Amino acid sequence: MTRWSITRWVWTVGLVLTITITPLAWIQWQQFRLLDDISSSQTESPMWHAYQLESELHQLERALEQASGLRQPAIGADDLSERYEIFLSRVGVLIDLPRRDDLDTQTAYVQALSGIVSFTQLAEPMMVNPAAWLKQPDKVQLLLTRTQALRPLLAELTSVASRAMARVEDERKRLLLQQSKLIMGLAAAQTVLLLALLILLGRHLRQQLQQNKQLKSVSLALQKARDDADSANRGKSVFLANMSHEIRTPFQGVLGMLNLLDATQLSPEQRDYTHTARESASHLLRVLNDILDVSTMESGQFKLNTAPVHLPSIVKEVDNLMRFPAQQKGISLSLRIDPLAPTWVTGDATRLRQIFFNLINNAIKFTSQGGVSVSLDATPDGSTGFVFSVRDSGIGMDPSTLDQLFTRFYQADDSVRRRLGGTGLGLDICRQLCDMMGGEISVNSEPGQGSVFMVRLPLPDVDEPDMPAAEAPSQTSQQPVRGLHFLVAEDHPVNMKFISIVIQNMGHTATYCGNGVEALAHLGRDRFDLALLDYHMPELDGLGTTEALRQTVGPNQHIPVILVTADVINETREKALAKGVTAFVSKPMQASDLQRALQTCGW
Amino acid sequence: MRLRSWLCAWVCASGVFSASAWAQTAPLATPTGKVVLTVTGNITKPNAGKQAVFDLKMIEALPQHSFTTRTPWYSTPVKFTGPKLADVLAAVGAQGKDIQAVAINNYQITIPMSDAQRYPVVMAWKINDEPIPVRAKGPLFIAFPYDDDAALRTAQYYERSIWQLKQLNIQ
Repeated sequence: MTRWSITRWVWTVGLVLTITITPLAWIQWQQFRLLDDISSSQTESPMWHAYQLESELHQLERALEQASGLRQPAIGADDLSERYEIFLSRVGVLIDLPRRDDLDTQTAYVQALSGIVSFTQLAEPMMVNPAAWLKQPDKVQLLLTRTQALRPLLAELTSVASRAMARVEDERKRLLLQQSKLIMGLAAAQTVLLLALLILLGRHLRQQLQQNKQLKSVSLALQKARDDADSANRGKSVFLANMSHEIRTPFQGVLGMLNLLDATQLSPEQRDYTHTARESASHLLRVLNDILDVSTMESGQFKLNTAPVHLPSIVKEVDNLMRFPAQQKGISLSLRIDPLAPTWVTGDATRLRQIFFNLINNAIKFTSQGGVSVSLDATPDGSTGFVFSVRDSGIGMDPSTLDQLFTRFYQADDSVRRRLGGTGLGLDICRQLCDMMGGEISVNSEPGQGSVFMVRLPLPDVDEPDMPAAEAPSQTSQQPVRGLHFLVAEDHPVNMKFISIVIQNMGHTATYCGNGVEALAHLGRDRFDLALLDYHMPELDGLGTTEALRQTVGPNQHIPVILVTADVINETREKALAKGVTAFVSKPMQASDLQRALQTCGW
Repeated sequence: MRLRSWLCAWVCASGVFSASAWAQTAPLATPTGKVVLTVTGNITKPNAGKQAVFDLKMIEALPQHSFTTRTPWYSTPVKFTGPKLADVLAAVGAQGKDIQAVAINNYQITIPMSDAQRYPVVMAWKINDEPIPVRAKGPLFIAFPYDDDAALRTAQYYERSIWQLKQLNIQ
């Protein structure tokens, strides 16, 4: 059965009501008319007036007898005339009466009227002056005879009028009865129609209920499917996070050892080998980081860590980092910072650095001659935020390339990709990061004319903070701290070895152990300046160790704790901060990372 | 049009008031012609012993009113003309609750005094602008404006519409 729309229902109900109520209203109107008619004209019945006429004839006869002295008490001639006039008025009433009851078609009526006419023809001249003939018995007798002759005619008229009235009453009753039957029939029809409609409505409602039920079950199934998909995705990202740890841990060893190897006496040939090995490892690490970023963004677990950020220093920092590759390619790299551009903003320093790095790196990558110019400006319309732009004199792009530029794994040309390398994730990550910061990234380019990438981020201005935790301009003038005594807990022997060399090279000393339980034992006994704990350890991990340390009264209860972790998932970091961790160093650990962490801890 | 009807209503109303005022204060004249109406009972301004009697001229002298209405006694609408019953009652100083009306043929009916206040009841002496002979239900006919009010188109008021009226007895 097809579903009925509301309009259709309204029309149907309206139609049914119209069909049934219109005749009812018509019948009611007819009845009203009938009753009104009865009340206005039918109260005066011909039967009554015929009877009155008959009685008036009797009175006239009597008056005639009284006036002529045949009957006592005697009356005057004027009284007789008046009686005659009244008799005539009675005739007039009967003739004028609007209600006829079909009386005028009856023989008795015609006969009575003709009898009255012939009587009045005789009486009319006589009644002008009755005194003239009242003393003549023959004239009186003549009139009396004529009145007596009229008597049976009027009596018959009365009886006929009575029967006619009865017929009219019968007819009226029949009409009322008929109308009542009609009303009952219509009411029954209306009831049946309404019942049918109700049944239809009930079916309609039942169908709707069933449909609702189905929809509900479908939506429940969809919800479950979504939950399943979500949990699968979460599983994937957890897997990726674990994998990143598993991959990065040995990487730390590789990179660290390569760095250390570089610092020893090497032949130029050997130095070239280590350099190439380190480049390859760095590239692999970047690819790994990109994949990790994309997967965390996709899983929805990616969050920005916002804090007051000194924008010019971040730009300068990235610019400094990129000077060397630019020089190597023989192209210029210029930086311009508009004095009107904001200095302190609220943002995620790491991610800003990533965007800037990606764009400048791309520009250098695709430029073989000329140069790259980087600028940081205030927004053109003076609204909150800033515009970061990178202009290159590279190969440029055609419109079809521009269309697909920010899609994942896209690179302008497969041949370029093979030549220049890269995952093709960089611009996708930039776009997603800009989206998350509420900004936008745009590009202008023509083949052979170079490209301009513009990032517009509406990051709010903030006053210069005075807390040490903020990303402050790196204090290069200050000498790094030396001579600290570390407690290092690390289960991986290669990493342990690397860390020990880094710490020694930085001029510090350390006590080493393989897991959290041992670390707590050391911390309970001896005095340390700080603890460097690996996140993933057997027996007791870095977090557990920190928690236990902070809760146990001892000589090192409040010393800074630096957590070494490969996890880039923000939740992990938030949780760690809540447990009492002071700073983080990500794997693979670099000496500069450790130095920055020490600065965060206050050295 | 509207203005004219308002004006007319105002003029008529003021006419009625002045006439009523005159009728209430002036003594009742004495008839010179044939007496057509006798008012008996509780009246303050008799002109013949305890009764008040009217000839047609005296009735003509009272403020006249007309209306045309359908009736159960004529097949076409008729125009009734004559003084208002209220003015007649005021002219004789009638005081009471009911009027017992009597016709020449001795038909009797009681009309509440309130009817004369509530409706513009006319004591017609002309039908369709012609004086009414006795043979045509004359000379006096108490008529209600039946077409104006459904309540008047009932047996109760039809039987109060007395024709060949000759006497009013105020009780």
